[in-house]
Amino acid sequence: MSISSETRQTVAELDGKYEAGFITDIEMDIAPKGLNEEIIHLISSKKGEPQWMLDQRLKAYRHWLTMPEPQWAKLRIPDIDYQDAYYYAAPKNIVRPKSLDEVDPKLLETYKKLGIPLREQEMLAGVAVDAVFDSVSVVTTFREKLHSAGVIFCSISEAIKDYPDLIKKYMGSVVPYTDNKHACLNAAVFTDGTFVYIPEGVRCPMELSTYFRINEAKTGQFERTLIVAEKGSYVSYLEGCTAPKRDENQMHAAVVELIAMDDAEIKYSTVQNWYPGDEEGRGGIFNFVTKRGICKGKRSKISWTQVETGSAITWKYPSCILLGDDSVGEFYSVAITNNHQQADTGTKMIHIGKNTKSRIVSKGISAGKSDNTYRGLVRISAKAENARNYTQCDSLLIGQTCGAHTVPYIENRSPSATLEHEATTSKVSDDQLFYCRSRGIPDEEALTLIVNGFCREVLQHLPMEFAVEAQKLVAISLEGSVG
Amino acid sequence: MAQAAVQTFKTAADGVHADALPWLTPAKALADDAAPAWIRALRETGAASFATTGLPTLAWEGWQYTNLRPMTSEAFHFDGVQGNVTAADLPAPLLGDSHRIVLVNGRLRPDLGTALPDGVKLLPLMEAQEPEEELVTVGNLATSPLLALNCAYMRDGFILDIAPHRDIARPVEILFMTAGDAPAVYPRVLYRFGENSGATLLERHAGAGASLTNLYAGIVLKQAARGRYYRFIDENDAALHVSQTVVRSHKSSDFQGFSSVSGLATGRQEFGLELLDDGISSSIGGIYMLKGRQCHDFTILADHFEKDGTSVQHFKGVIDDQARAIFQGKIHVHRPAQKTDGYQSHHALLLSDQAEASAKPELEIYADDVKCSHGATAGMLDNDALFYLQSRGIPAAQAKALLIRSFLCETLEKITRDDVRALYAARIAEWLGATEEAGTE
Repeated sequence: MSISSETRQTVAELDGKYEAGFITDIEMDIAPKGLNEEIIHLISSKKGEPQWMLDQRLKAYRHWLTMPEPQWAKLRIPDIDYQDAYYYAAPKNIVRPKSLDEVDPKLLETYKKLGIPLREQEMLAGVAVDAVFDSVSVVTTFREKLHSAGVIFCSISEAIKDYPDLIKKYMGSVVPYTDNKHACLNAAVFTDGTFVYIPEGVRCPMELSTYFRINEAKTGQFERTLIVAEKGSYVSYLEGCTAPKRDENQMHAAVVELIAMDDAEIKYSTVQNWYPGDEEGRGGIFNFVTKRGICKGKRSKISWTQVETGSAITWKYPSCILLGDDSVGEFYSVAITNNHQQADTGTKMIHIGKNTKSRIVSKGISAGKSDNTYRGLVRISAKAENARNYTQCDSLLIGQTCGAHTVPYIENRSPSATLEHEATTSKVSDDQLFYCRSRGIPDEEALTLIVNGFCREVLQHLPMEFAVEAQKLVAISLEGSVG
Repeated sequence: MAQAAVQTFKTAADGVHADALPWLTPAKALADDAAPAWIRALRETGAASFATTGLPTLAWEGWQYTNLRPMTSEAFHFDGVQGNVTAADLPAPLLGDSHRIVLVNGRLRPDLGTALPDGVKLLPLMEAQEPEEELVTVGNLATSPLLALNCAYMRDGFILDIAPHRDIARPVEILFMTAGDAPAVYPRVLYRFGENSGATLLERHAGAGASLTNLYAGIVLKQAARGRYYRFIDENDAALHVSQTVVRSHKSSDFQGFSSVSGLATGRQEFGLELLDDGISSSIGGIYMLKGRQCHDFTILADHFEKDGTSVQHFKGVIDDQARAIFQGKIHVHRPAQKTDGYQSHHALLLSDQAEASAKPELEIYADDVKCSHGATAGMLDNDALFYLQSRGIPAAQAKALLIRSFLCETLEKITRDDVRALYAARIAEWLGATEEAGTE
């Protein structure tokens, strides 16, 4: 494919383009480097946590020391020096802001640059935002309005103090600290995150949203999200993530737990745009995330939608345990890798209840020298009568130096279950590009158009506000990959 | 992807794996034989490798679903098992007009076989004085302990050469018989199709009573060769069968393989299709029919190294009672292998509440101009179809058999020889007959 000089110029300009790659200069409160029991004591005391929480953290930490690194993913992960990172970093000036007016203007500026104008969001009805900066939740908007609907939407640190019974009951119930090494580390050192509780019969009046931002150098971000939807409730939740450009790798090990009771529905959307590293593969975030939801009640539903464009390494498998009869699990994913990025992502659908249904649609796009793997498990237990699963994994390769892989695990113990799995791998066809070019659409735009078409099935499951953002991200992630 | 069973290859770098030793002890019987130096060297490499790994466990990637626990070394006897087999004990030839090579407990028995036609040469393994490259580089022993074990016991087997430019019209049947008190056999064979040659091989595994077969079969297709390789696992429900088959295809060659599984207790057949050059077509198919507590695993890798290759994996099976079936298929397209066409499918039919089917249809792709797809399904018989047949006066049992037969027979369509297709169809009919009888008892 020939490259027009214009394209070449565009590519040159885009060199290392990562719009969220700036650093915000803010005075930070940072714990000493390294990881040991003292640090955990320190984190816990900084957050003013009760003893039971500290005990849980220490228990997790001691278990973590004995756990091996997960090795099964198709990823080349350099040895991680857990002692060479900071486990707690909080902006100094804004320990507990009561409203947006008390927030450090520099922070607000940061979020504005990221396209999350908190102030505007507060004005425009629609989205309530919880923003987490490095380790600490800095601001939660719309709390009043949500409160009047009975919805609890706050940082997890506040929840530990204000709603200890709920936290004790649910935290760790879906992802126990023994689950895997990254989740275990999170259980020991998590610094903040979001807690959402939707009471029985309540339809959350607005979309809830969290933005995560790693700012400080050599800090890990370990947030924890817990969403509980009581009987007949509904909530739609979105998270977004960014980080500045740095040469070293930073670690993000989050845990997300969702619990849906009878007839409840949780829709969880992610737009992940952590710094992916530069063209040579230097720097970038290691994104090791454990996300799992349990459809506890009958007819409950959990739907994961993710757009993964960032991170040097993505290791992430948002899963559903379909325990309640007639419950539904969904997973819609677009994963885009460029340059030296590596992604190993997918889902697990564990069918336990009768008539449970799951649907998996995964679109992987690889460009540059990247590797993109879909890895998913569908397990139908013997009791899951009439369970159904439909899986579709499509991969698109752009260029000759990338890789696209599909590793589905399908286990069926129920004869009345129906499982279907389809996968295809293809490239952007020259015919499609030629057609666009003949209509005067430049290659870059044509590629974005075609890729957006390829992802459409997934993107349309995003809340409207974010579908637009995701489409833009698709374009940015692929810049420089034609030619 | 069970989180608990995720560690890949456990190797005890600094010592011998405790479980490995009993498996290696009987191999000492080979110490004094007159094997050529290259075979001796391979035995040592195999034994050393196996000593550090032992048998794969459920914690190994690729072994999550197949449990080798039923295999204990004490239960089987290497060597010393007299297979007092005479011509009268042999099953009738698969095809009336085929040539026949017979092995009893791994040892060649020329007295029981037939003469081979012109253009087909048989060389017993122990008479191969020079190292055979295709038998020396066989794969990664650290990740294939069973292959390592096969190396450690390397003695029995042969090299079968099809002369270049020859078309062997009548099929050659290779009969592996097990007989006597629980023999453990480790045959190693090499089928070599010379340039532009063509032949049909029927490899059949039969025997009564407990046995362990650990086979390595190398198949080499030189340029433009046409190889047909049909395997029949006709053993019994006390037989353990593990095999590794590596098909090395050279330029413009065409390979078609197929395997049927009905008689065994636990088994795993691995096929590696290596498409080493341009313009190769390589396909492998199979059917399994399992009941009782049978367990079988098809593990397939189609490895595309160069451009314009086509590979097909097409498997179907039925699982009754508490039987378990596993399919792990992978298409690996290396960077230079542009214009690759890879296809993979696995369909399982579950006939009972306790039957289990697991599948891992995997793609690993590094070239952008390729067409690769796979499909996997698992489910039960279509009730509407059953009802339709019954409404036309066909009894339920018969209707069920009819549907199973048509489900399985679809895989046979690509088999070019009618007589071979009939052999597989007969196995399906036989299994259905036996199941029906058991059902009416």
